[in-house]
Amino acid sequence: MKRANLIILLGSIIFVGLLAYLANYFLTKSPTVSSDNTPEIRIGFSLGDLREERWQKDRDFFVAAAKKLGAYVQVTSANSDATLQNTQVENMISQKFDVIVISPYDSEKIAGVVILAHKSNIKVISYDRLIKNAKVDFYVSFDNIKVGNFEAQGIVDVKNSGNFAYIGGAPTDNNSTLLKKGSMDILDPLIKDGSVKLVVDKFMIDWKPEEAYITIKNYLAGGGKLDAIIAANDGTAYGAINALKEFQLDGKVPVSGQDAELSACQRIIQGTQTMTVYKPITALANKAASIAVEMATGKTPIANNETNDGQSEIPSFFIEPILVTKSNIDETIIKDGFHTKSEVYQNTSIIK
Amino acid sequence: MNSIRNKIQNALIISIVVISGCAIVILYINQIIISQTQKVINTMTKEHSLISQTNSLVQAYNNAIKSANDSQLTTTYQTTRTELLNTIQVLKTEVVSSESRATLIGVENTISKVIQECDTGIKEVQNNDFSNISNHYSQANINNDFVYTNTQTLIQKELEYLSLTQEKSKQVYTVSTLISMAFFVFIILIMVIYASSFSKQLVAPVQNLIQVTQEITAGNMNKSIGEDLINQKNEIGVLAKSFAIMVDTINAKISELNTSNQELTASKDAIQASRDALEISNSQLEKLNSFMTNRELKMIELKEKITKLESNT
Repeated sequence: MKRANLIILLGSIIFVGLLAYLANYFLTKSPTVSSDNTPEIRIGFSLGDLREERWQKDRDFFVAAAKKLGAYVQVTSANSDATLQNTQVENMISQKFDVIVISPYDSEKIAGVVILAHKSNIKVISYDRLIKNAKVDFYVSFDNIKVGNFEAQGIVDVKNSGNFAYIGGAPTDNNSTLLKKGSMDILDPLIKDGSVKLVVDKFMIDWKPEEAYITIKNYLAGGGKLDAIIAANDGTAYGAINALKEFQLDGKVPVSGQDAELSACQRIIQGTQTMTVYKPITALANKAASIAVEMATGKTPIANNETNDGQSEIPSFFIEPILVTKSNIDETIIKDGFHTKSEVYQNTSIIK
Repeated sequence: MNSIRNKIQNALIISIVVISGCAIVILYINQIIISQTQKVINTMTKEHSLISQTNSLVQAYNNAIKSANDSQLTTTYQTTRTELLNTIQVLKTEVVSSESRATLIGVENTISKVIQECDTGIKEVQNNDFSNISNHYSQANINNDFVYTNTQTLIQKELEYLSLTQEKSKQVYTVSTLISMAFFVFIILIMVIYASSFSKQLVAPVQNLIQVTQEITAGNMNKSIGEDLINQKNEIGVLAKSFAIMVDTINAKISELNTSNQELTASKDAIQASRDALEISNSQLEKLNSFMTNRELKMIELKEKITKLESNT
């Protein structure tokens, strides 16, 4: 009995010691990954706007990808304020980041700080939207001309004649120009042979849905006839569709879009929006993060394209966009986990 | 001897060790959590002081360049500058999380820029070059604003780290409390099993003893205590042994008594015999006595008769 007592006593002491050791081990271990080594690469990520859902995805994916590659990312958002974005980038320069990744709110006004960054030997990557006349070190984006092609093609596949409206993006965004160019490549032959007439052709300030709404409403209220709308993104498509609704034309007039926003996917299932362009943001953010890390370590990233920024050719990497309609939404957006099936289909029963 | 007292003592000691051990571990965990939190809060306070220190530096610069020949003001500037650099050096050793460290590098770079602008300005003033001083001042001010923003980011990172740490601490705390509780219950279970088997060991021999005592009380003095009881190496064994010895002693005393009793009976017979003899001799004596008395009475009668006769004569 005496031995048993001793074993129990020893056991309890060992247990208590073990408990203390475990607690100490877990507590002193820092919760963040590898607290001992400071990240050697510091990246600044300046976003023009975080209010749209897609930019939040960009931020999250980019930060996650960069962290995986061992880099530290500081994110700022300028809330559609070009001056604020300039200040934020200047701040990043003063902090001597290794690389600054910029998604400019204003493609031209940002050029000044890019030149400042270059003076401090900081590399600049233009993210999704091209910075003009600043000779940035790299440009990562989707092939926006192709997105424009898709936007027009998706509509022409359904309706190839009549009165068309073009609802463009923000005039401050270089992508708006590229998108329009892409769409026009498809529309121009049809306009030339007279089957298509472009009755509305406008850019929307800040990509605002309400601008698109007012534009389409005014046109229809003036007695205009409309057969199709090419909207540059899902936000403007939403505005245009709301205007159509007031004239009981929603679902009858095909409308395009891009970004594959959740509400747009739902509209595609409901039949009020014809198509959207799905730009795999994960791929873009991952690519941008790996390019930023490569640049910080002095490597030259591989480009698959060149883009003219108004002064010089910028090495670029374009990610292929995907045209999404009701027929392939399951095997693209839902399969990628960009939105879940229940999210996309949630309103269908109510509509029926 | 492994006595019952020892066993009870051991059981108590084990319970106390386990309970106090668990308590100490939990207290220790609490201590770590508190010290970690305090450490981060201290760091945050220091980080926050960077804002005011940089501000003072820019102001000191502004004062110094306005009266270039006042060495007192230049000294103030130099002191502020040294203090600021010290704070950064201290922070570099104190900041724990990797995110905060990376942010701190940025803050440090921005502060360096402020210092650089001010230093250049002061140097230029000392060389009587006043052409750029306000330019340096405004540059220093712009970067001072950045220091403000970046320090805020830094403190935010510390808070993120703190919340992560606290989440982790909470988990560790819960897990260790659960393990402690489980072990505590386990120990209590073992104690219960131990106590029940131990009490059986304790009670069985006592009952055995009671039986023996009762039989002895009933008069069965030859009832002996089992060897197994006597051989137990605890208080029960001792008790059984003493009891056995006691029974033996009583038995010995009884036989002694018996012997003396027999002796007593023998002497009683002898006394009876001598008493009988005495009685016989006594009766004989009585007979003799009565004979003698009769003779005496007769003598008295005769005497009276003699007297009568004398008188008559």
